[in-house]
Amino acid sequence: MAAFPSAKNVPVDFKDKTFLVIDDIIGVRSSMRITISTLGGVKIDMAANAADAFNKIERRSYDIILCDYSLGDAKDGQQLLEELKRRRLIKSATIFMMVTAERSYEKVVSAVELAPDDYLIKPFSGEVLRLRLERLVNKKSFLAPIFDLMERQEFRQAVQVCDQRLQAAGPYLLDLLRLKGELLLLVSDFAAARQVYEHILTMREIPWARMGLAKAQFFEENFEAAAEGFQQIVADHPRYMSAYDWLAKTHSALGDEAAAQRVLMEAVAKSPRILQRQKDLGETAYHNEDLDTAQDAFESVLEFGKFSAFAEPEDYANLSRVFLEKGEYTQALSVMTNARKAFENSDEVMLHAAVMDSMIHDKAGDKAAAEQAFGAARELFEGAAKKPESVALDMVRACYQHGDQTMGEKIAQNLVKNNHDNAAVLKRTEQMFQRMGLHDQGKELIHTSSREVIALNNRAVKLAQAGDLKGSVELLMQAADQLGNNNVVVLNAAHAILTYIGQTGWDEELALAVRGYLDAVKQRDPEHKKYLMLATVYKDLAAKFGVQQ
Amino acid sequence: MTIAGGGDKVPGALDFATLFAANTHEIKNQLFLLLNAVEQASREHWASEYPSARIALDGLKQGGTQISQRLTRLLALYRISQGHYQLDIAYHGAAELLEEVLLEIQPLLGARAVEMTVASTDEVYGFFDREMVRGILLNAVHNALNVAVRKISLNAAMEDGYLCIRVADDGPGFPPQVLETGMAQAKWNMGGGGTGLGLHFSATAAALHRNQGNSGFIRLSNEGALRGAVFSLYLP
Repeated sequence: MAAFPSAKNVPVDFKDKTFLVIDDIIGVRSSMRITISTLGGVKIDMAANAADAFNKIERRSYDIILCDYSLGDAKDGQQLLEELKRRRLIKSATIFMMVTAERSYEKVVSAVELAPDDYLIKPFSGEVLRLRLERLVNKKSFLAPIFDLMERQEFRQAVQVCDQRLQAAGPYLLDLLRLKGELLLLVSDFAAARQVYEHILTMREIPWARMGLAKAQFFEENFEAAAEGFQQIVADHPRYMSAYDWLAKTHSALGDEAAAQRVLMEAVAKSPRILQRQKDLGETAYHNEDLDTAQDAFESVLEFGKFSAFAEPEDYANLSRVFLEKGEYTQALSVMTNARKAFENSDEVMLHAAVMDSMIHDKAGDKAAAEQAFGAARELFEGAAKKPESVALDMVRACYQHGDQTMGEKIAQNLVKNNHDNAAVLKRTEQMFQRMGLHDQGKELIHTSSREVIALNNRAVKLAQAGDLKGSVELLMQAADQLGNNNVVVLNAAHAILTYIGQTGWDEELALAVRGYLDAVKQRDPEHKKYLMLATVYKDLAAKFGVQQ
Repeated sequence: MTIAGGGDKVPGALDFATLFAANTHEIKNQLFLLLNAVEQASREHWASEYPSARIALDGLKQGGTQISQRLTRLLALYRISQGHYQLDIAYHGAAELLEEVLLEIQPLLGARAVEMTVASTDEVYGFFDREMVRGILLNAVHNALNVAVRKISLNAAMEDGYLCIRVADDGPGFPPQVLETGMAQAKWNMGGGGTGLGLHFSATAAALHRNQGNSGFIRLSNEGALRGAVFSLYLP
């Protein structure tokens, strides 16, 4: 193994490094260019604002980005960094250094959640810049083997390399522990992740470590402890926004939707422009029958979403449903009219609109229009390639309203079977039946349908335990073919096949099925924990049996 | 003595500390512009032609930098007292920090013909607010520079679970009354210039570093390795 770099700086040749300087003042840009060239840097690009920076970063990958915190009146450097990370435009190996005047220093260091690699307070000398950059280059090259493995999604090996490097971590101890914790969460080894974070917290109270610990506890379903952890972060670091989202999620898991709504409202008040958070708030408030808050939140989603590609037909349906519940039928209809316009009568929006229209006309007492819309909705729903859960739920309700109980039941059963372990979907389904005055009937349907899936899984497990791996695989593959949208069922089938392959050797036909299952889940949820774990197992097996990928 | 506008007797009046802090900030910004102008002047060719001009400009730069650092400490103390200071505790190597301090002091050493040695093994790490600790050490080194004869030493080591950073010089040492009364003296002296403000800042900033029931502190003594004054900073 190569010798580890020590804390002493290894001199860095900046000649080969690509630099991007982001500053709104031209004089500062040119003096930065001079400073960088005294360090030996020659590949230097300049950007005058955030938009300019995005353009350049999309076209070329940079080794070192020096960004001023204040970029005129549009976005500041922190917002730029956050968006770059959200859009995955900068790699882990890229150095992002924030340059700040003393005035904004505290804003820079209070960004505990998505911090730059380092910051420099103006004025600084070229020598200090060199020292800081050399250190960061050394650190990134120390961590590079781990970043490489992560990029190739070989998370288990990445954890092993973390462990090796932890033997002589020196100044990178905390960086390695942080990476290890994140990796363990990714591969769903929650107990080990918890131990890493607990270990860090015995050294020091660090917000990201507290966050990691609470997440591990959440996934271990120790919701009380998780809630306590997220609460502590929110209290100590009110700007740590994702802690609010997790706290709300934990309250929901504990069944306290009122508390979840309170936390989301607090977060939205601090940072309103995050669409997902507004959606969560809208859904939680709708659940809590706080229709005014739900309306505000869904309206914000549409308003902020207007300028990005993130709004969906579903968002319009969400708002329309609130107006329907409030008895404001004209409003409810006009929202769906706007939706058709916004999405140019796409199949997806037409389905949403037809379902909503049929329910609205029905409530408003216009039976003829309701029948017509329902007919269209039924046709569109049967032909739809994708049936998102929200539209399926609305469709169930429309079916019951129009007396087509058989179809409503069938759709509801399928929805439950495909989401039998998704507590949020089951809760929404139950509530919808409750709204229709069919609470008991709904509970019964949910119970029976999810039992069916669970029983099937249990049969497969029994077969496997009895030594009939092949039989278990066949049963689970049958189930996966019937319930292709159910991540749990599909991944169970993939898991069983991989175990079978591990014991009996490579079988290309079965491997092909696994790839299909994994791809299907990846499309729906690229960060699904079990998917990531099984993708790693698949790669390991392929390597073990010498199969070319 | 009461100062008009300083209490709650006058409705709507600004409190004096805030007024003072806001103006200190402005003064510091103006000083920054002034220092930029000096920097520009010293890059002119006449500055290198006339050694006396260069020495005068260097003196201006050093003096200005020290005033600026003093104002920075004053503002930091103000923010700490208001409970606004955003502490940025992270994991750093002591060697890295000492290297930076040396880099910043280097230009001043030549004029005073003082040699500074930095000693720290690579294995000394700690959790601290880098900017704050840098401020503490710069202050201590500046003080040492005022009294040192030939040598200053800067070193870091782990001591009883604390990260200890020492600044020692070969000067006459702290006067006995400073050692006897310690921090109380530092507070006393604050109004009178001298080292009072710096020591008060250092003690306050050190104490903000807390870990598992322990707080940071500073200690003054004489008769170190260089037989002069020794300033020690302890971080838990």
